[in-house]
Formats: sequence, C-alpha cells, structure tokens
Amino acid sequence: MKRRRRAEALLPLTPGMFQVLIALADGEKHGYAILKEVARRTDAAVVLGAGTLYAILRRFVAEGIVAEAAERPDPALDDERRRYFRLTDFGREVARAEARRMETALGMARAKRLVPTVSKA
Amino acid sequence: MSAEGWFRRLLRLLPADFRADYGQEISQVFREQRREAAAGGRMLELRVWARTLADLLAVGPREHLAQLRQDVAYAARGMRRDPAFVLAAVLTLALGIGANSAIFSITHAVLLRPLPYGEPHRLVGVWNRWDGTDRARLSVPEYLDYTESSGMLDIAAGTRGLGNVAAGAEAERVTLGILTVNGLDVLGIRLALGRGFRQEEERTGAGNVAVITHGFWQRRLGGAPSVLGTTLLVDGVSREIVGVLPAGFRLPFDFTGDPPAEVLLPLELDRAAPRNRRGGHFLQAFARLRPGLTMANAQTELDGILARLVREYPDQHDQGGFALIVTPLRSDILGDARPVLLVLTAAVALVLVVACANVASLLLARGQARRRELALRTALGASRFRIVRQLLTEALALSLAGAAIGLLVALWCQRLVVSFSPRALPRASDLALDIPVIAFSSALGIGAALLFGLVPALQISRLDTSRDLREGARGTDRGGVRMRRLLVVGQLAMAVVLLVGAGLLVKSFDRLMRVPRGFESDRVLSVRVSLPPARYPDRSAIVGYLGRLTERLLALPGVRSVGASSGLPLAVSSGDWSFDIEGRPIVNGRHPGAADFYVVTPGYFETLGIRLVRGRLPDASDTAESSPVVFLNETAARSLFPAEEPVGRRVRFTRTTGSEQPWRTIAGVVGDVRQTGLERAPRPEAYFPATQFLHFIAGVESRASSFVLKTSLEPETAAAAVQAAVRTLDPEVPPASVRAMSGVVADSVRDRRLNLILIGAFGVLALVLSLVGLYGLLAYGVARRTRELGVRMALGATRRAVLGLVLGEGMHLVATGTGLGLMLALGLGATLAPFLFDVAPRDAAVYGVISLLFAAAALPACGLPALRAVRVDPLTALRTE
Repeated sequence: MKRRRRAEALLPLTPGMFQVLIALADGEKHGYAILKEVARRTDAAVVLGAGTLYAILRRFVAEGIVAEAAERPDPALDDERRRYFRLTDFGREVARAEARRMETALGMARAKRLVPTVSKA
Repeated sequence: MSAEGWFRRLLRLLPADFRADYGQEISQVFREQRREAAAGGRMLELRVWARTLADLLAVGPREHLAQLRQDVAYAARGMRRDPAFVLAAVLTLALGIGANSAIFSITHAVLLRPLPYGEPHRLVGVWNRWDGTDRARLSVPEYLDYTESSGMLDIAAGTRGLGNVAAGAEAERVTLGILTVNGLDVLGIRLALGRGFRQEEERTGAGNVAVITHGFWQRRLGGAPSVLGTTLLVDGVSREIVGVLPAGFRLPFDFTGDPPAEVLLPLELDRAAPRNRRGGHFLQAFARLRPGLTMANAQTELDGILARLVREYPDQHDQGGFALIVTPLRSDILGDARPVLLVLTAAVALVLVVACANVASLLLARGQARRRELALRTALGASRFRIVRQLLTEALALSLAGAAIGLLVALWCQRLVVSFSPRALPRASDLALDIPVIAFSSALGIGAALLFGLVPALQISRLDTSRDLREGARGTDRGGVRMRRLLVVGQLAMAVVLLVGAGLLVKSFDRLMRVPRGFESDRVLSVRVSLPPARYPDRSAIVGYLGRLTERLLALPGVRSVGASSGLPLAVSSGDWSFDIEGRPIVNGRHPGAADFYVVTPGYFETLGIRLVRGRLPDASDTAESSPVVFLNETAARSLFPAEEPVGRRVRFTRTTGSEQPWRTIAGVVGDVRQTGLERAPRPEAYFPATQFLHFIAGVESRASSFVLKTSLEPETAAAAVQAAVRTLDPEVPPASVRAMSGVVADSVRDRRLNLILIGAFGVLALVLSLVGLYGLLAYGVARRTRELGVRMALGATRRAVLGLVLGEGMHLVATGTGLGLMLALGLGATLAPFLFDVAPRDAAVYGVISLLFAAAALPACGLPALRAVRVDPLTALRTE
C-alpha cells in the first residue's frame, strides 16, 4: 500500500518537471505533444530532450503524479500508436503546491521591490 | 548504418529497464523531430542530432546513478532486517579476502616490487658452474680475471661476514658487507650522505674506510649528519666513515632472513699477485650490463674469456663441466620464493573459493526466503535484469565490507609471517599494507561478489511470480537446493585438498624432526665469538683465548662440559678442501679426497654428544708440538676408505696461499652430523684440533668459533652468565648468537614450519567454512521439510529412520566431496613435492587419515540437523502448515 504523502515533500520541481505538469494540466497528451507544447509555451526557453522528458515521466509515474492512459493511435500523426499520459489527482496537487511555492517566492521578491508589482487593470 | 541504428546505439546509454519502458517512445519522438527538421534543411537536422546526443549523455549517467542509489538503500534496508546473516557473510568473506590479501602483500613485497637498485633490469649475477654445483661463487683470481677481461659487464663482487664493531663504547657483533670498490656504482646506488669507495681503497691498508647503512647510522650513531669523518673500530682496526647508504639498502646477497649487513668495507685486492692458485670460492659476483647489450651477448663474451683461462690454467678447472654463467640478478635473489608463493597463493585462493561458496549458499537460502518480496517487485514492474542487479549490489556491499575487515586479518597474517623472518621469502620483512594491497583487496572483493553473487542472483531471479506470491518462502526450491548441494560438495572437496596438503607437510615435518641429527640439542647452549686479528694475530694467541674461555665457562655453575668449533651444526658450515691420501696417486690434477673442514677443541664432540666410531676423539695430547692429526666423519671415512681401516692412514690437505700443509694422521672417526640442514645428507667432513690448525682463509668467519656448553638446567638460564664471562675475558670480543641448540634446530626449519602453519591454517579454515556450509544446508533442509518429516513420523517412521534420512543425506555429501577432493589432491599433490621430505606426494596414510578426520569432523555438522529432525513433533508440524 502506498503511503499517503504530502505533495510538498516533492518540491521544488525543476523547470522541466513543472512545465510537463502544466502541459498535462488541460488533458492527456503523448510524449511528443508534451515536448512541443512546452517549447511553444515557453518560447523555446525550456526545450526538453526526449531522454529528459521520459526520465521525468518515468519518475512521475513511479511517484503517482502521472498515470499512463491507454495506448491509442494519434490521428494527427500518421495514426501511429502512442502512449498517453495524464495528470493524477495527486499530480494536480503537486503542480498546485509548486505554483504556490513559486508565488510565495515571487511575493517575497516583490516585497523587496526586486520585481514590479502588477497593478490590477 | 542508418540513422535509426545509430540512435538505437545511443539509447544504450540509458539503463536497460528505462530503455525497456520508454525506449520505443523516445525513438518515436526522435523520429518526429527529425521529420520536422528535415523540412527546415540540413543544419536544423544536425541540431536535432546534437541536442539529442547531449540530452542522452546527460540523462544516462544520472538515471544509472539514481538506480544504484535505490539499490543500495534497498540493500541496506534488507540487511538491517537480518543482522545475523550479514555478520556471518561478512566475517566469512573477511577471513577469505584477508588471507588472500596477506599472501598478496607478501608476493608484492617479495616478487613484484622492483629491486632497490638503479635500472635493476640491467643487473645480472656472474657464477661459476661445475658438475653438481649449479652456482658456485668466484675466487679472487677468478674475479680479477673476469672483471679485467670483460668489455660488456661491469662486474663487482662481495661477501658477508660478521665483525666486532665498536663505535665509542662496547663492541657489538655486526654483519659486514665486504665489497669490491666498484660495488655501489654497479648497483646504481646514490648515497644518502658522503661517498662510496674509491678505486685506490682496494689496496691493502689504503682502505681503512667504511660505509654504513641508514639503519646503523640511526641506531648506533644517533643519525647525526656529522658522522662523516668519524671512526669505527671494526675487528680492532680503526676505519673512517665516508658514506651513509640510503634507507632500505641491501646487498644483492643480503635478502635472506638473516640480519643484513650494516657496515660495508672495501674488499682488499692485490691485482699484481700471481693468479695460479684459483681456489677459495667465496665472492658472490654481480654485474651491470653495459647499455644496449643483452645477457646472451655477455654470456658469449664470458664463454670466450673462460676458454682462454682454461687453456692458461688447465689444472685449476678440473671440476667436470666447468662453466661461467650470467643469470638475471632478480632470479638469483628471488629464486626460492617463487614456488613457495605460488603454492601459498593457490592454497589461499582455494580458501577464498570455499568462503565464496559459503556466502553463495547463504544468499541462496536467503533468496528463497525473499521469493515473495522479489515476486512482488517483479509484479510491480521490475525487470529480471533489475532484480539481478539489485541482488548483485547487495553481494557487493557484503563483499566490500568483508574486504575492509579482511585488511585487519591481513595485517595479523603479515605479523605472523614477519615473526618467522622466512629465508625463502627475501624482503618479507618489508611487508606493508600499502596502496597496491588495498587495491588488491578491493578488487578481490568485487571479484568475490561476482563469484558468489551472480549464481544465486540468476537462480533467485528465475521467479514464477504468481506461485511465489502465493507460496512465498514455503514454496519448493529445487534449483536452489541443487545448487547449494553442488556448492557444499565443491567446498568439501577444496577443504580436503588443502587438508591433504597440510597433512603431507605435517608428516614431512615430523619425518624431518626425527632424522638422526648425529648430535644432541637437549640442554646445550651455544655462543659465537670472533677474534679480531689485531689482538689475536697468530695461532697461539687464538688457542690461548679458546683455552681461557673454556676454563671460565666450565667454572660457571651448572655447566658440565664445554667445547668449541669453527662451525655449528645447522647454523655455520664451511666449504670443502681437497687433500691427498698417502699412497694414492693424483689423477689428472685431481686430488683423491675432499671434505668440509672444521677446527675444534677437546670437549666439542662430548658436549654435542657426537658419537665416536673408531679411534679416539681430540684431547689435550693434541698440541702444536705433537704429531699432526685429523678426524674424519663416517661419510668421509666410508667414501675414502671403503674397504680399509682409516685410522692410522695419513692425508695432506692441499697447499694454500699460507703455506705447505703437513701430513696428518687420521686419529679417529666420528659419527655423521647434519651440518648444513636436516634434510641434507651428511657431507664428508674433517676436523682439526685447534692447536694444530695452521691455516686461515681470507675472510672473516675463519677466526670465529662457536662454543657449546652442556648444562644441567635449561640452557637459557645460563645465557646471562655466559655472556658476562665472554665480555669480562675480553671486552673487545662480544658474545654473539647466544642460543639454545634446540633453538638452532628449530630455526633451521622455520621456513618449513611457516609453510606448514599457513597451509594448515588455510586447511582448517576451509574445513570450518565448508562444515558450516554443510550444516547450513542440512538445517535448512530440515526446517523446510518439517511438514514432510511430521507426515512421515505420523505414518509410523521411527526416529531412527528419520535420523538416518538426514544423516544419510549429509554423509552422502561428505563422501562425494571427500572423494572429489582426494582425486583433486592426487592430481595436485605433485606441486608440493619440492616442499616434502621423505614423504611421497601420494602418501596413502596421509590420504587415509585425512579422509577419516574429515568424516569425523563432518559428523557434528550432519548430526545436529539430524537430531533436530528427530525432535520434530508430528502434531505441531502438521498443525503449523
């Protein structure tokens, strides 16, 4: 039986890990789709190699952050069979915890006026 | 190769199970990326390649490391749960690896390290050889002719001696190295302080100089740098210290267990003297090959030189097969060590194999208990490779822990070996636990882990997941048990091999100690004195001293008789000297007789209990004025006068540089004595009364005598009084080697004793380990079969039958192992032959006794599990299942 763990124990995540969680937040994706989404969303600031990506996914699967969805063809890509990954509830919790951690950190930087505060429009 | 192929190769950077999980997906992604890049041109495609390569190079090692960390953490968790297993395995390995490290450290110190000379590969030994003598030393004229004629070799020579050395206060017996003046240059020695010898210092009287070792400098002279220019009194002659040798220096002929030379003196040479008397072979020669030359070159040159000398002095090379040879100096020094170390290495390797088999067996048993846990991991997705790796990681952890503790075992073994200062292992006194030894231990640990870890790992990981999950440890374990039986049989066989070897050595040692020595060592004390020429210039002075000391020693309480000899059985022996026999011709320049010669005082033979065979013993009637006599030993008498009465015949020893020898009447024949070693047959010997001895050979030992005293109490109790008596008679003549004769005997066999102790210890260790293995297997079998035994007993099997069942299984293994071991021993016994004395390598009695002993020792290992089987209560057994 897996023990009940706190998401905070896994923090902080690397930028790559966090981006993978963000990429999966709106639905299940296969590996290549995750890579492309991360690169597009970060303006190629975070570019994951295939090895790094699957190392992250493998660890996430082992930790119960990500689960594998059933294998199925991707009509957009020649209908080749692919493995899809989706965020678990625990994974969602981890992503939120990481986001909160970053927000707190950002708050501290703002309080010291290292970065401008965002004015409400 | 296609791009796909290259990529598959790159993927091997990743751990195998990662590859199995996601390799295909990674390839897929890579394909997509290339497809997309292809549209953008060649540069873009190259960038995809480069980025992927960098990615895999970064991810691969990281993932491997993460897995290893997991495995280690997992192994540590498992071991914490089972400390008894860990302790047993680690200790077993510590003994096995430690003993191996110890023997390796000896091999390393003795055989593998380069000699402590400059460019040692260019150093050779130079020897005479004739029929019956493989390596004979050189005489002074020979040395001079060889060295002056050779253009390819720089030849030097020297000898060891003992001298009385005084630096200020009391004199002390010190080993001297007497060396030609070029000796240190030939060896390529850079002195720590001062200089070596100069050419002109070889002239008689010109060389009142000495070079001292680093050790002597520190020990006797306080290590002061101002030591150069100060003087030492060596045998009554004042010598200026001109140099200090580097630490660790040894002469090429100084690598035995005997104390090495501490003071070097130049060998005095008279190059103008006639060279037609070429006897007196006491110089050990060594040489440096000039650059670019080989030993074969030098040999050819020496052959030519010898041919010329034989033509010049035909009667001086009348030994059959006279030759002059060069040998690698390394093999001269290490000659005897190689076979000894080879045998020890083989023996100790067997011990390690037995230890590994034991641990393998433990791992198999533990693996069975862990089947459920491993099956669970497999069910959760661990590959077989991963499981094997996990098990190997555990094995490695055990093994390295064993290696670390094994270093302590090695240290202890080293101390044991050094305490024997074995002669056959030169340089053994320089043993250390240094980096090569530690590296060897670690390597052995890793190798051992593979040896004992791999088989169980493969065996255990062959899981039947569903069944193992259901049955866990109770499941059948046929393969594991079969494997463990094989291991136990192998262990027993190895132990038998070692014990047979030990048995052969024990019997050989026993035989050796029972050899008739020809003298009695019980309650005899010996002490050696050396008379400096400056104070005792001639025979009458020496004889006077011997007489005075004899009187003083006889006056000591508890001393019954006293005698002296220039030699001492099993400790000091002489070379041979040829002689003529009255009425027999000299054929082809060959004298009819030759014998080793000793100078004795009355009382020597009585004190050592040496038998009188015919005639009389030396007594007070033998004076300088009375008619010269000589005494022969039985071997000499028998070989020279096989059918005649020797007593009354006359012999004359050959002329020496001193003077013509007189005709001597053979006055008596005494019993043979094992003079040169218990295992060596007696040689022909001649004894001269000290009063009538006219001849002193160049060199130091001929002025020395060993006194022997028969005491009424234990000889050691008289030692202090004897030393005091010697010192008060003449403070410049220090007593040396004060030892009980029984100690001299024991000392002469210390190499054999050490071999015996080591092989014996290895044998016992292997025996204990293999019996533990046997016990473990049987006990495990009983525990696993509790239910079966319960059923059998419930169905009416008697206790006796159950006892027989388990005992039978055990003894069957023992018999198989013993049989296998005996066969192996028969095959391997021949390698021990050089170390055996008067025992055949296939001595039936030894094989028989070892088999019986083995069976007897195995009985408790089989009996205890059998008794436990008998105590199984059928009801409880059936209920628990």
